Amino acid sequence: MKTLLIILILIMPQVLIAEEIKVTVSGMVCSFCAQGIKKNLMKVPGVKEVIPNLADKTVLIYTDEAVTVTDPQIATVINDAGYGILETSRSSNEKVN
Amino acid sequence: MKWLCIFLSIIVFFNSSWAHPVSYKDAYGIMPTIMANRQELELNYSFSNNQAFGVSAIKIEGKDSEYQFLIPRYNQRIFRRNQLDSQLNLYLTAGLGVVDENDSSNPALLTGLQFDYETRRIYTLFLTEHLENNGGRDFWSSRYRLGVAPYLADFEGLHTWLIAQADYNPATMNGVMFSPVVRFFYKNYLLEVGSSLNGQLFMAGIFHF
Repeated sequence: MKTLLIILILIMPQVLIAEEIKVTVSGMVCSFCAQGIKKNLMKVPGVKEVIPNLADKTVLIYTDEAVTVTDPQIATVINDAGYGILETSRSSNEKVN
Repeated sequence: MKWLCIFLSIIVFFNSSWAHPVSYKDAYGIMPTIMANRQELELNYSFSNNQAFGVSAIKIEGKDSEYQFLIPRYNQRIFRRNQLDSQLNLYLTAGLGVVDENDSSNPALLTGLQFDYETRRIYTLFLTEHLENNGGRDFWSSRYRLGVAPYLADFEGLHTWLIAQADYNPATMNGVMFSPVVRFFYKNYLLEVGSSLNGQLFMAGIFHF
């Protein structure tokens, strides 16, 4: 019975959730601004990629599957860089392994 | 005297634009500037998004003598307004250091104010700075800038600005000096190159890391 349970756990699909977080940032008008935001967001555990977009004043944050990056974490980093947050939205990408 | 000479010899070609007195938290900044009769290098560390410590080495060729300042300084952003399309800043700076003139050293005091406003298309700046040595000699310098970006680049692109600059330094020049300046931004690097209307070179740079 015990062996059967272990086999079942091993073959069950593992669902991992990665997130795309889109943040609209106020004051991000130059590449220096965006560099500072990107550099500090990349230090947050679980952040895999940061893509600033100066045209629409947004920053796309891609997170690791196993780690949750919270809104307060993002707000602290962006505020410490000297900028404000106007809006945050999230979309999940489910991966079935 | 020796340490001041060594430090100034490294930056003899430069003089500070004071463009980024404070950056993002934990950022270092290197800001050299060259202009007629004045060279400066500022190194600073922003320990918050509103406060930075740094040091400025300034060489001024006055009408009567040459002055070399070495001044530890504190920069404070006292006001910032972020909007979706713009950013507005007001900074104060103060420092206490030494000035060398004709092989004698004296205490020196630095105070200054900077205002800037920028969008992705328009940029304007006003700064005024006062340097005073113990012997009563003082140097006012003021700068006004208005810039426009001829095209809008994305985050990884090369950004270009065309800037009209007016400098007023009564201790080193007669009247106001006007200089067209071109600014290039690429990632963490900024380079400005210009020339006054009577042909005097202006160069400035900023590197953040």
